[in-house]
Amino acid sequence: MRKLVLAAAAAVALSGGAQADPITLSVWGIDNQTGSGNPGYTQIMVDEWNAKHDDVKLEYRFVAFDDANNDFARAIATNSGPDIFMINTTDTQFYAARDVLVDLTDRIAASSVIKPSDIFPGYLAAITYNDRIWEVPKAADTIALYYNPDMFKAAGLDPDKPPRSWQELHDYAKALTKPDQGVFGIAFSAKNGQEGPWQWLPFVRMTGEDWTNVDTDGARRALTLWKTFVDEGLASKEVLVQAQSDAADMFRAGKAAMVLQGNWDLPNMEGLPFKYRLALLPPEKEGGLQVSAAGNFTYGINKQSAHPDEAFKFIEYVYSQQDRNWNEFGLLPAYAFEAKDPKWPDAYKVFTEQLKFGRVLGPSPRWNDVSIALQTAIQSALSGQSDVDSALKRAAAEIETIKNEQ
Amino acid sequence: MNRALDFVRDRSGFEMILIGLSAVYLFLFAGAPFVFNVLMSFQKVDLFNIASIDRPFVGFANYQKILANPDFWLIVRNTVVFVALSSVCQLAGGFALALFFMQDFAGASWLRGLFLAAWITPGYAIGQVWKWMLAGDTGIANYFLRSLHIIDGPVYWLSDPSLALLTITFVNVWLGIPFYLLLISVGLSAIPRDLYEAAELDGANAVQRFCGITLPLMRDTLLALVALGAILTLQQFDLIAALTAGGPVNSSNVAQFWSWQLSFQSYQIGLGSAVSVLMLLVVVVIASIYVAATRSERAA
Repeated sequence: MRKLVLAAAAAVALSGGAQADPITLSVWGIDNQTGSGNPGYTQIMVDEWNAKHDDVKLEYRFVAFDDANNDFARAIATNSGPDIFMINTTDTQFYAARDVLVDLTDRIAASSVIKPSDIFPGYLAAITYNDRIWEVPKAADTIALYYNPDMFKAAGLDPDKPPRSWQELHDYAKALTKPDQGVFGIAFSAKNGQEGPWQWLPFVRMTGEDWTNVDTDGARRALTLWKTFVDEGLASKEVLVQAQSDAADMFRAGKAAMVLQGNWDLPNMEGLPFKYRLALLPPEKEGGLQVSAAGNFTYGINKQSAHPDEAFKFIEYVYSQQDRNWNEFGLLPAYAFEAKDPKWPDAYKVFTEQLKFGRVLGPSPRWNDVSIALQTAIQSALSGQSDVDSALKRAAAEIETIKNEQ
Repeated sequence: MNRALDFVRDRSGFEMILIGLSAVYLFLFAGAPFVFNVLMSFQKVDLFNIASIDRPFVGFANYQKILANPDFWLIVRNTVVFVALSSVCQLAGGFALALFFMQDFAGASWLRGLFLAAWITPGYAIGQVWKWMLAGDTGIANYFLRSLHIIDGPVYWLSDPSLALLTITFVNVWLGIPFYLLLISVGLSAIPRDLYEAAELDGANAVQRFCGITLPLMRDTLLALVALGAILTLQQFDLIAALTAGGPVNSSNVAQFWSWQLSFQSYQIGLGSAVSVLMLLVVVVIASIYVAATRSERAA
């Protein structure tokens, strides 16, 4: 279809027609209007663009989150891919390393909209590969600690003083756990999927260590903390199969007093029988190194696109709209900003502060494989199939192999 | 022209066309993908070279990697338990229900039909519903068991590594029983009634009638069913994806799900293909047992 339109456009141009047919670009992404947490962001941007432009028209196509990489790669392999596609921050280097994207470095350098120096360092690292920039962040997500102040009061804790260290996080969780009422102190996701490492890695990083080597005391302390939550019954054994949304559901249902969850869930935290509060993830020791997760998606341009310049203009347009992210979508921009008259003002304060300590997963062109090694370590330790030390030793060895293969 | 028409009108020509059509269909939709799959299992395949056949050959390296994987034997064991336990329980349950519905009581036939509702519901939806019911802290299954004082604390059906595989097997049995029930019922109704009447006149009791008439006459049907059922269980993917995704840590992982994980989660399509080729060998063994058994039956 694109070729047809192109041919038609060329024919009109050759015959000296006054009105050229518009160029049509395709955009593939995981945003849709229906699912919770996916507010149709990219679809809305595409509609806005189309309302303003007659020369370049965009077609948006929804791709399911779980199928995105398969669909993109298959489309690229058969030369039938879109011009622009949404890439998870965990996969930015995967695509960059395959040389399937347009190098955006020079276009960004010439852009008056996108300034790499504004972008948070974690995101900049994710979109950079071999010192070149390959994607542009769409928005930013991070996780913080939601808690139920009513349960705090009932347990004799001060809701104005959320936990400030891992020790306090543990003690609070213990005080808040009410086995006879089926209430857990804390909920999180240790699922065998991206969500497990996404929630756990910040704890490793708070010890000063990282995924590159998890055979360290820091990683052992981080995994032991999570294991203690489960072993002492402060968190449900279901964390092994719970997605983040399931953990948040427990919090909303009053079955968990605290939960690790992201800013994207804010719209679903309204209308609860209690007024949730938010705190930063506590560092290992009070006043210590603070880290949280950082994610969401980026846009890249397919190397096979016939219109990279027009595609880049759309990416610039979306980037320029990021100051709407918070109030309209519950998302943060990937650069420091101040929302005017922010919705959910308390949450806004916590999440913008938390994102300053946000670090993306990886970055690595083989993050998927690293992630599976980490998931296995988390799950085997938490389920008791293996002790913390040997689980991490195995993961560290696997990650070493992955690093050497790439 | 006439000759060509004659060739078609002539019986042998017509038959050749029919056979040809089937052969083309089989080649396009079964043969070619099969060859493609075997080919991929000897190549290094990732998402970006999947469209071309010209990919680096790696000999048996994919198979060696699979066999050397520390989880290989765990997954083999899980697959054997899943398939064997599912088949035995589905057969026993389906047979028992089929015999029950052969009894003459009001509504027997439409009640039997209702059982099919489960079998025609998409596996993923069924998996999701069971996931809710079996949830450890909030599930209705634990609620009932607790109310009946059968258990004290919650049982973590899906997140306890020693239970996850058994739970998936249980749901798969539940899902497969209607299939067995239907096909066994068809087999049972093909047994002439007068055989039972004659046996009854000769003084044979119910157990003797079952062992002397029903079982021998159902042998072919049951063998075919077990072979088919085992193959269907080897294809069972949706339930596992919905219930545990193979976790915790592969404790409920089986070969078919592992093959998918390798191909579509870590994009090592060559390895995923190797697993599916190994599974195919198992299916061939199951199928040949079935063929051999039915042949000896006919010869006897």
